Amino acid sequence: MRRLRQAIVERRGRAAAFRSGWMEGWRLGACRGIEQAILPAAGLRRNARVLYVPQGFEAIDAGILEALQANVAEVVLVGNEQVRFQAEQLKPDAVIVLNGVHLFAKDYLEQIDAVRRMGIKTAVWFVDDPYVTDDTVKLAPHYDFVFTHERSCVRLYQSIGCAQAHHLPLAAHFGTFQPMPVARTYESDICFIGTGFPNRIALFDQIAPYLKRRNVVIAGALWNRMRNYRMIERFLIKEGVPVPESARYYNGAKIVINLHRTPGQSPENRNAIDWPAESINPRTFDMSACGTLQLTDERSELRELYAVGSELDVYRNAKDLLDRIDYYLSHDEERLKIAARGYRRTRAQHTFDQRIKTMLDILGIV
Amino acid sequence: MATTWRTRSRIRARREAYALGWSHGHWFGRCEAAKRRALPATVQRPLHVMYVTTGKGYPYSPLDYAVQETLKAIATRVTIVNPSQDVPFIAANARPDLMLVLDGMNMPVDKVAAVRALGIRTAIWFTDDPYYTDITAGIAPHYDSVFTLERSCLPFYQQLGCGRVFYLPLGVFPPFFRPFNPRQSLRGDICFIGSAYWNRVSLFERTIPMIAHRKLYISGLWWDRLSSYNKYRGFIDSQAWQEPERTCERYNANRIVINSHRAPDDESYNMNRARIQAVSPNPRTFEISASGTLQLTDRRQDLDQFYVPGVEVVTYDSPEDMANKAEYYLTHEAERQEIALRGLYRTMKDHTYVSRLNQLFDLAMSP
Repeated sequence: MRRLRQAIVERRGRAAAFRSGWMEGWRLGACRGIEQAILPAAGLRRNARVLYVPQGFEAIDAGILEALQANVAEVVLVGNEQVRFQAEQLKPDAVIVLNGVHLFAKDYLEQIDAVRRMGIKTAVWFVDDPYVTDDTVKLAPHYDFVFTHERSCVRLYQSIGCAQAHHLPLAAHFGTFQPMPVARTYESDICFIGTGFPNRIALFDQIAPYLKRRNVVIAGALWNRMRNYRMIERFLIKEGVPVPESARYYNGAKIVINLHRTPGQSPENRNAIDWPAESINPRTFDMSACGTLQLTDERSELRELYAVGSELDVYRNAKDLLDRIDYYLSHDEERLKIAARGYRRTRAQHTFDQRIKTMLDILGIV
Repeated sequence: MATTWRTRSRIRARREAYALGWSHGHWFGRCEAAKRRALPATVQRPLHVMYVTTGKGYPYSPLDYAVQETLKAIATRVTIVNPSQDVPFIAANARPDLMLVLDGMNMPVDKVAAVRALGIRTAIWFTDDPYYTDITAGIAPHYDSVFTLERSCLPFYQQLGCGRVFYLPLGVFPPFFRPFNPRQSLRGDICFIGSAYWNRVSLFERTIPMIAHRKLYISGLWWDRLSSYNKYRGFIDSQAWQEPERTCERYNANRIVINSHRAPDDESYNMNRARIQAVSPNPRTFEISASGTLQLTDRRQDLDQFYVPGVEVVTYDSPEDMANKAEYYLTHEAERQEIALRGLYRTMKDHTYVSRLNQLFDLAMSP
């Protein structure tokens, strides 16, 4: 009797293992098929020399640099303290700065002004809008071209006199975020990676009783502000995870949750003018680039970039989120298919290559 | 001690199950991606089609179903009737743009004439040429357009006085033939599904000894014609036609599926006194490749029009060649998968009923 029961348990264990192997294999197989179908971006390199000044955002900097290298004859990576010096030496056609908000050299604005006086085109791409508008409104007028990932901020920069202000959404860097097999330790049903901003704390306090007995990963700082902190402590990675690790956690998860931070005035933000947010965060692209189902709150730009319900899904409140988690955890096929379609859309349309081509067109580098 | 051993073996068993599941899942994920990419978008044409079913029941009913469902997807209005109904009366009331008859053996020709007299275009699609040409010869001239799945029948019908004769092979209906995860217990290496016509008997008489070390499955009528049937009956399933779903599951479960065309002069159920040769691939060709498996087929002349040999399907020209190629692809899994995947892609792109019936509309409705 005991032996029989044991045999049944073992058979079930094997069946469950086969099933989870099947789903993971399917996900990666579908993504592989999708990737193979997308032709590498064609087009000649533009005959120009460009200096690129990184912000220190690992995946975004890498994505932009690779895209520039694919599209421009000569690209030189330059630290922010050396912009003027390198521009004098190299006489580039353009200097492109990412963000320029955090930890840049004190005199870097003077350097940009000097570069501009040399007749070299200067451009900045802001990717932290609208959370740091206190800073960006001061920086923007120093450039010939201002790009912002936040659609609502275009009119802000126009209003302070930037003639060339453009909306340029972010994209996924497939070198960092891509479908890949991961070790068991990265597996989870539900995953959230990010800082515990107040709106996130509020949401997770509501769903913590549901999460507490599940296979969950949460990673990031400031989560100890939760009322129900005890319930999530077991699976919290307090110190957060480095970017390449987050790609592994996204891959290992059945569902990744995305929740945008709130734009208004708060201690976390430098947005005293309370400028609104319409655009999606970089994580939206990162998650979908990993071929995992994403549940996100809705920003008004979202539907222009992804088909809701088909390429990812949205939730309106805590209860809605739990309903959807329940639904997608019990409908494996649908979950896998939506994730695969999200991957396809990202791979086909939301790449740095396309963004950089757009930017270069606007800069007149042809 | 015993417990540790058991725990260890259990962990290993689960790891193996996971790996097996992964490889199967990976394959079907790739198939799904290829299929999505390949399937043409369906657009409904402003056309009213009256579809006359074969009226034959099984094994023709899946074919009827495939055609009528596809028609609904690509025409704005479809009226479905069977040959025993008062078709001219229904046609007079419904006023379709086109009457399409499949097979037509059970459709009285005076009904066709009556529909034609109403000024409605009529088309027939023969599905068993050239094996029943003794009968179809009496049917074809009653229609405005004649479609046959056998190219060598074109001059035959033309010489009977049919003005518009077209070559149109059957296709696949993706809900029936598609990649899907088969039952574990059915998994094997090589399979063949079909009746034991004599050319197939002599083919398998010679190949089976060369491939018998592999896991084989053969299914169909008359396989007791094999001289060593008793020796091989373990993997021979003597049933008649299986449901498409079952056939497709077998195709999915085997890494190689053999196709062997029936000889046009075989005496079993052959009504082809005109001795018309067969040069076109059989419908099974498309069904096998739609299932996402490697097809190993003999080479009918027209095959190249539909698949690139060596790239999308593999061909053999002798029993030895078949055995050698089967062995090669069973030991070169990555190559086998690439060919199967390309075969699947081509099938979904070009050989579904959506493509075929769109072509039929173009031809039948042209002035």
